[in-house]
Amino acid sequence: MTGLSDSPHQGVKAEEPSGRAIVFVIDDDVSIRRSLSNLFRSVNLDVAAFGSAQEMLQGKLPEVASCLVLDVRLPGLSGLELQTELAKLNLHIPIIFITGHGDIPMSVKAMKGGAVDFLTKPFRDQELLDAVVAATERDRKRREVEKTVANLQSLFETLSPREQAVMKLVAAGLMNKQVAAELELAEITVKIYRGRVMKKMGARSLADLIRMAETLGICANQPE
Amino acid sequence: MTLTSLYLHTQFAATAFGYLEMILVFSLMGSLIPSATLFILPFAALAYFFAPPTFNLDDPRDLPVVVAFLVASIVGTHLIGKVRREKEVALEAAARLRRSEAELRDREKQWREIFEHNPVMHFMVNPTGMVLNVNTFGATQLGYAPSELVGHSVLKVFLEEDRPFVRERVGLCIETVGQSHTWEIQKIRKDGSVLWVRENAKAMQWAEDKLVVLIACEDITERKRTETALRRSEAHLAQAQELSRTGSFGWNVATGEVHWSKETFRIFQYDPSTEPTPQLVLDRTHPEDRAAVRETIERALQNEEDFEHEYRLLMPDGSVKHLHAVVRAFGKASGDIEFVGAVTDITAAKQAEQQLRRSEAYLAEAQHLSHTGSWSWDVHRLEFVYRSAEIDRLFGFDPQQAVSIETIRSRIHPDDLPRLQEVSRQAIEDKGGHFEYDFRILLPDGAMRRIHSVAHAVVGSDGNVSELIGTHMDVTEQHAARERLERALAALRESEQRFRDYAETASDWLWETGPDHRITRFSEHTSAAGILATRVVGLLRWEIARDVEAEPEKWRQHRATLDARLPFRDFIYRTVTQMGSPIYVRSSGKPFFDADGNFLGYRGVSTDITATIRADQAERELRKAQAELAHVTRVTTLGELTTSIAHEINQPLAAIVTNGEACLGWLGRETPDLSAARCSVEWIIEDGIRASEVIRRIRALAKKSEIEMVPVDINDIVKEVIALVARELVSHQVSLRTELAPALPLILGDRVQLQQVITNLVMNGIEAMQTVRDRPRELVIQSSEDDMGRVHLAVTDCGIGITEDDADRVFNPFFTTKSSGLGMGLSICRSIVEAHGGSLSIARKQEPGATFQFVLPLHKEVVS
Repeated sequence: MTGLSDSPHQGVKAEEPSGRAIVFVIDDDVSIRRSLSNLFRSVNLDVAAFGSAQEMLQGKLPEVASCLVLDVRLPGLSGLELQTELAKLNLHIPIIFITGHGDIPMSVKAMKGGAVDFLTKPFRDQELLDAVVAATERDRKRREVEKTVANLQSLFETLSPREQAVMKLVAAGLMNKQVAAELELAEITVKIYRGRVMKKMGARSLADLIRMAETLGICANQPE
Repeated sequence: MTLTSLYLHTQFAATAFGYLEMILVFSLMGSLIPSATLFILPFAALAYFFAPPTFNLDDPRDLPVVVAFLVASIVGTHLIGKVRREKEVALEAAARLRRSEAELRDREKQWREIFEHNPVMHFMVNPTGMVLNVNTFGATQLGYAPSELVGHSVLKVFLEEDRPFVRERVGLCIETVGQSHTWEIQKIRKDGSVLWVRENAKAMQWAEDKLVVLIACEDITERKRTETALRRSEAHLAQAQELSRTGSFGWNVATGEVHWSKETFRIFQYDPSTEPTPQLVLDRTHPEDRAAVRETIERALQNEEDFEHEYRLLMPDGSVKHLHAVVRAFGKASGDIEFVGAVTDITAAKQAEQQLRRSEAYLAEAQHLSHTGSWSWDVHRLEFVYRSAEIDRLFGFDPQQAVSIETIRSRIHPDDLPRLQEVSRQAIEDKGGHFEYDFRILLPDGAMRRIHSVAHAVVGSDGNVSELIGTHMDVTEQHAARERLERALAALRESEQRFRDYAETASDWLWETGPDHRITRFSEHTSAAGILATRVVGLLRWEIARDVEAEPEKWRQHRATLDARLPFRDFIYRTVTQMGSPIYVRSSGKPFFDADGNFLGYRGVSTDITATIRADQAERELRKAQAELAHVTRVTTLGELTTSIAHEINQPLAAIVTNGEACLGWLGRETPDLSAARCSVEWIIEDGIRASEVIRRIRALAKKSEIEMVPVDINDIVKEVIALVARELVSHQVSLRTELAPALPLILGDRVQLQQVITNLVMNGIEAMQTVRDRPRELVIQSSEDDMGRVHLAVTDCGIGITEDDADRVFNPFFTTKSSGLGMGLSICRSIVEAHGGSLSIARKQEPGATFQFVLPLHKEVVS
């Protein structure tokens, strides 16, 4: 069962990349699930609601900004377990925990697991909405970053191994001469490679290239 | 003549004159008118048809001629006729005169002869009674010469005592001249002998004014004598006929003359003045016999023979007479037949015969019905002198055949034969007197009859017993009936004893009250209660009881029951023993009536139920305590469930708030989304209902209500429990599996208490799994129906389980493994289940954990 059927506005598809944020709601209590879905929709958020963690895991997460409103206590897989599971699956969806009877160890665990918020019932709905908006924003940003990195990575992958090695060394701040020495190449060759790298990566300046390398995390290779 | 006239052409007048002559000639012949007509008509006809010119009346001169002709012819004819008649008369008178003169002379002579010798005495007396004349025969008859009588008073020949009668008679004749008078009287002859005469007298005028009386006497002495004899014999006959009811009759067939005697008239009930005819007989004859009678008579007529027959008469009043007729046929010289017969009214005899026959039939019937046969036994010839048909039936004898003594003996039961012979012998020896004995008859077909015999000996003229006369009565039926009765009585006695045993076993004392409800009989067969019969007999129940004032309604109803004559059952009242200690008595009674349905009182049993009442009271108190305890534990459980309960209420409340917010959101849009807002509000209502439902459930559990046993579906209760503990399951990470059998039979139970039991078991299960980390915490609730139709409910956990030692103690009060709680849970659960007629137990299982299960009987079983 999915919470979608509870929606007064049918037709919101989780997979549809609308550019809008989508809120996932998992709560075993149908009243809660229904009311939350209703609330989010009333502020123009798309909602996908589920009665259990398993139900959600069966589906595919959309490539849009989203967040998960999760009840801590769930039958079967509990909220915290789902958090762990998602992490294992490398799904970085921001989670807002809600609980009827929050206890300190649980909230600590949740926060440690990367939860965006931990709301204890009764909470004000505005509080939840704020948390949801914040979470989706954060997700959106994360997604942007991820997108940039992915672009750079794909550009980086267009480089030949020699070019990649040159780029890594340049980004590490080595001089052309040093690079040539390192790679046992002629300095002129290094220059050529460097020019090709700059062009392929679309870097306007060395600083730009270095930032790219940093973003890609390939500057870790410290020169010996 | 006409032709002649035509020929001669005579004048009409001449013709007419010719005719006149003719007519006159013919009138002399004595038949003028037809003759004249005979002539005139053809004349007229001929004249008219053939000679009209000749015969012309038109000539006025002819008319006077015609008239004259007619007048002359009529007058002439008349005159001629008259002359002729007178002449004839005169001739005739002269002839007669001559004849009569001669005749007169002859006749006088003749008459004189007749008068003198007529065998009848003729007297002629004058009014004074003097004899004027007497014929010779008359005088001779009286022994006188006529001259001796003439001139003397006629009274001389009469008896002195008859003389006034004669005088009177003669006087009468004189008074009534011309009338004859007849009488019979005696006359005395000259020699003094008497003769009977029949006198015929008449007075007549004799020569002008003189009156004479003519008397003709006929000697009827002989006839008189015969008549007297006849009358006497007739009287005798009539008397005889009357006495013998025999009528006689005679019937001359040829003349049809019929004579009936007086008795015959009486028999046929006809008036004696009726003219008897054979038809009268047939008229009276009974229609059924009529044909036979007719036939008999016809045959007799034909054969001219005597006959004798019996037939019936149907009298006008509807009664029937039986007649017996004997008829002789006498052939007469003329060849006619005369029947002379006697008819006897044999009705009485017939009736007597019928009566006899009927009484014989009645007797036979009576014997048959009463199975009684009568007999007479010749003790010398050793055979039955008489035996009735019933005897034959009883012994199975052929009624047509004589039976030998051997046959009789062979039919008597061998065991009874010697005694029978002894009885007979004794009776013969005792010479008279009644004796009775019983014996059995064995019929050839093996059937046995029991006979009761009553007999007596008849002493003959020789002073010895000649016959035994007696009756045999078949008492087989009576015997069997008596045996049946005895068996029935024995059965009745046994039954009475049995019921007495039952009653005595089931009660402490038996009682009986009269129509006024006062105790008439009282039998205490256990001395436990200590109530003395002598103290209660004569009292009313409400005089014995001590709670009449305390419970007036109960007694009012009881008395209404008694007044309505209805049975009552388990009526409980309080009284005191003779020792003064209070006891409770349970009494049941039933009204009883006599055969006519009159109410006689009540009969019943009573039992001292003080102990039961006390036990009941204790149990009631125990129950109350248990209910209290159940309530306490229930409330405790609710305490334990507080968090869950709060959550259960919070959930819908939170949903309400959120939906409210959302609703506002929908409404606050630029274009308010009303349908979404409406939907939100609907959900708010739903959630509000859900919240109140939760509170209702909690309240039901917390309420200290009376136990209410109603038919319930255990699955419904399980579902309610799940709703209550759902949060608890979630918060303890327990997954619940339910295996509820569909369509379970209803059980009779208290919803709240059963909920409490299941909640308790579920909570225990959750708790038992708290420490479980290595396996999923699963709780299973199963409901099912067993072969006996009982409902099973099992709650299984996979927790720590229960040790063998604890298994015996878990149901004990105050046993607990928890730090908190009363330790009353399972104990209360068990008492609740047992109060529902079921049982709660732990089921053994291989896997870790424990299964608690309870069985509840069916609704039906509970009510029965």
